[in-house]
Amino acid sequence: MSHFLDDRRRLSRRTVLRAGGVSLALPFLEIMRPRQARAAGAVPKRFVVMFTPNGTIHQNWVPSGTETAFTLSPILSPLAAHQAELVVVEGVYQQGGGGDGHQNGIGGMLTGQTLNPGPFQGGANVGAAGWANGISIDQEVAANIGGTTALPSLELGVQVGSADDWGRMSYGGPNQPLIPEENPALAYQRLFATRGVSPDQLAALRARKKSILDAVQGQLRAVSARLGASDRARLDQHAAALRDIETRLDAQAMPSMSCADPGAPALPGSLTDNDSFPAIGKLQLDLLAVALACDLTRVASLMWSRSVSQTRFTWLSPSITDVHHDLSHKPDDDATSQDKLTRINTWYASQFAYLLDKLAGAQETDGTRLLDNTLLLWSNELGKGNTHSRQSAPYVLAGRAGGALRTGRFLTYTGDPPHNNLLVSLLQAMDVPITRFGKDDWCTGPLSGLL
Amino acid sequence: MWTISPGRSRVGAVASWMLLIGAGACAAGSPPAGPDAAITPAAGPLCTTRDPGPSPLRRLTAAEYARTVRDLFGGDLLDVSRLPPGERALGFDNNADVISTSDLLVDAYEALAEQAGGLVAGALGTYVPCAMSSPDAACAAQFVKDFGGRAWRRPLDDSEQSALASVFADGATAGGFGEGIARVTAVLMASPQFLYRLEPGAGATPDLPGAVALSPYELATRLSYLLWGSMPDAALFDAAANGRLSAPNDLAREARRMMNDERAHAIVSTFHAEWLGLDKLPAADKDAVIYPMFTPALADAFAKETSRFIDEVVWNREGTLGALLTAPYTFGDASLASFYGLPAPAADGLIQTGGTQRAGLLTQGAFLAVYGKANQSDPVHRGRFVRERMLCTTPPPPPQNIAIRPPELDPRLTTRQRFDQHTSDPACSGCHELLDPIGFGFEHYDGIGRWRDMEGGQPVDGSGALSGTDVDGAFDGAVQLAGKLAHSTDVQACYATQWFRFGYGRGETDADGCSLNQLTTAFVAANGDVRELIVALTQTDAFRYRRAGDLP
Repeated sequence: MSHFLDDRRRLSRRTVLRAGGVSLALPFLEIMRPRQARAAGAVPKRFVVMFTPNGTIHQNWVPSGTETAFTLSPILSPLAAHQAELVVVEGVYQQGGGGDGHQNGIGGMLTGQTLNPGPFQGGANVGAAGWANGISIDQEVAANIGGTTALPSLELGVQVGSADDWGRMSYGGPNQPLIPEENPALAYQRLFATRGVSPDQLAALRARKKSILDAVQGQLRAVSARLGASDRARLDQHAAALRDIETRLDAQAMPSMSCADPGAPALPGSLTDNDSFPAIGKLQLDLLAVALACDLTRVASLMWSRSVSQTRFTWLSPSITDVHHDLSHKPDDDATSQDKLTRINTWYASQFAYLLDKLAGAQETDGTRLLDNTLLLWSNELGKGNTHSRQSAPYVLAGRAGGALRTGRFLTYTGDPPHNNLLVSLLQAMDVPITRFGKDDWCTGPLSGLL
Repeated sequence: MWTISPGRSRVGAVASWMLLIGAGACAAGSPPAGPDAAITPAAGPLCTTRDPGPSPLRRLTAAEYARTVRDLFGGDLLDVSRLPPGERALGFDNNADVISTSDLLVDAYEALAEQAGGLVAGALGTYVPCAMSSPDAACAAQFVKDFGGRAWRRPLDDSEQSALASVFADGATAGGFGEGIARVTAVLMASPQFLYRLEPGAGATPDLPGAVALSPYELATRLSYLLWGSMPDAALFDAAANGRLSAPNDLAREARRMMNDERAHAIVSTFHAEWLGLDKLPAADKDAVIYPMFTPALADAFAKETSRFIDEVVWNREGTLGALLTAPYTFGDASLASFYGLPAPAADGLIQTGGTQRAGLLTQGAFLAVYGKANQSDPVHRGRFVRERMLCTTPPPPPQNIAIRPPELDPRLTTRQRFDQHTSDPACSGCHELLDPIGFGFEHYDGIGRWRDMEGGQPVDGSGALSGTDVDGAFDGAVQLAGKLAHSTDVQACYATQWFRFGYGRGETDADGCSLNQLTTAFVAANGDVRELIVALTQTDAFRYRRAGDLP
């Protein structure tokens, strides 16, 4: 078994953060209260990924028309109010390798990398695979812009329920999948842990936590020296996470005018019941939006279910009781199933629209909208569910990324350009100085004509 | 011909089988040779060179963490619900090859450690006895030794103790004795020495070149997490401290002792739940129109039935894998018996099944509902379970880039008839001939495990066939299938392999032939006694040693 332990990238970004010096400590209470005075600097950019599973129905997804004069498709129709904020990208090929199509689709979606060897047995004829072989774009962005906030990035999920390849899309580096938080109550706790604590108490808490963390780091270093290289590398990852906690104690923020503690979320009766899916999703979208609005993080992602999702869309009208993945394998000539899949993807589009509504409604200290300073990517592990094809995977971008992205466009590519190129362009839009990303022989540079 | 040459390990055999039929037959769509074209049953794993195999770093799983803090603090006193579930590979959620470290996880560890600090500081009389008479640095040092030694599962060395003494001193300065103790506790609980199973080893051993022996405390920890999924108890610490924990006999003695403790039941239960995939039962989602009787109460009754059945068979009755597969009895309440069409249970819940429609795990509602579709039975996945989880062979999965068309429900046809395409379409048949003939044997059970004699207006045909095994041949119904599997050495070897994966927290490698061989041999010799297999798990090189190359 190979060791999944290349930590260089992650460590280097931490090193950079540390080298940047410890910034002025700022209690959460202060963070919660937006102050014009702190708006002297530029409003920060944010990056968001939303994942939905099992491919789409291309002809019902793709808009019609020209780059700037286009009509949204049935699936994208819930986004009509935001058409001017969108860039719909057709024709880009989502690369991936190792394991099965769902497995390497989601593993490569944000990393532009293959899966490493490993024990996850997929459903394709290429055998088992492990974790993806590289950092994902959200983490690459976080490494560049996430340094001073309470959380470098926020990973949320809705009934992901699968702690393996199929349930992970964000990677801190090769073989370093990030766990999405699936419980809105815990996510809230993590984001707003110190609400209501006075600055003095907070300072004391911070000093206490620092002393504990320092001692833990000391014990970790002492024992590491007695271990072999692979064990040591694992503990290095642990040490990096501990440093993140410590860095977070010194968080700074530039909250928008719309930052307010939303209060603990009211959970649905069951987090695992299929029918709780939309309720959990709404809570997570609300948290995601407020985390950005309060500048608790600048990078966030949300996974709806997982690749090979088994969700049943019973709440739609008329109700769909079939399992999503089963439906996604129905043949093209099965009109009933195609219609159901179209309605499922339309519902997902309405969730994306809900998030855009929230970000459009949040006002920054400089008078712009949060959405103006955010770049969102909505993507899928597949293009087409019944063949596992990743040709023309359904990418929808939204938000102006602080002016880096010209929106209100529909772009069609031919010749299957690799999605690595799209990832490069997204990184560039987020001011990450990079010209290649992911697996080198897949990437040829930025996606022409996007930025 | 798919003959696998002797002299290859089982692992190699599986790989080459996949290579042969995976890449070629199914994807290309050319008619493959049928499975009866001689898959020579893989002999037991071949032992060539003794080798402990790899020992990837293990971290306490969420369940192990919960049990450990229960034993450490004497109760479920910490809120462990925020720990995310462990990564799952090969069916088990303790696979050390794929553990990952997110900030989210380390956050949770840190918060729990502080919670533990508060717990101890709030009950000093319980956790720090000397605090009542002399709450001072000496008392704190004693706490570091006693509690620290239990939390880290070994005595702390001088420099560790002195570092913790400083932590205490800082805390005591800031907030008094209790605060010092709280911080010491938090540091102990947030340190990798608690969270991970670190094994620096005890140096080279003459027993096995290229290997290092484990220290007695490391062996105590391996034993306690294998048998109990938790920390060692006082007796185990004592055995480690007194040099009674290095010889194979010592390990066997302790394993037998520990199996008399309730905690061993939880591990056997967890193993079977993960092996069978039964943790998917609560989420099993059935079409309410077709299966209105599949209520949460029924799912719960299924879960309780199988859980108790395993417990009774392993600990109170036959104790064997054979009995798990064939026992003509089960346990449940009147509603379960009625669902099965059986007489009401005895006072202790024992239901005599008669062994015609129901006998053993594979005929119980939990298994059949998990491996049943939302609206119909599921011969493919039932067959796949037998191939993958009971015979340890991985059938090649469906080809990419073809539209898979699971047959629609048709009131005039049986499931077997609707799945006919699998045998008529050459793109499918190569693979499905390995699955469906086994899975069709379950056709008397619908998607929630209810017995049926008729389907689509026709009598159900529950006949099937096993191929590529040491118990090849036709059978009629799942009870007969289970009877054949119960006599299969291949199944016993696979079951031992599954315990290897679960017990050692990793997949087997080519280097593990001797350890696997030893397990299978012991298991077969004990007539498939599960308890003896667990003892055997403590006797292998994989359990007793580490590779020297894994250490600095």
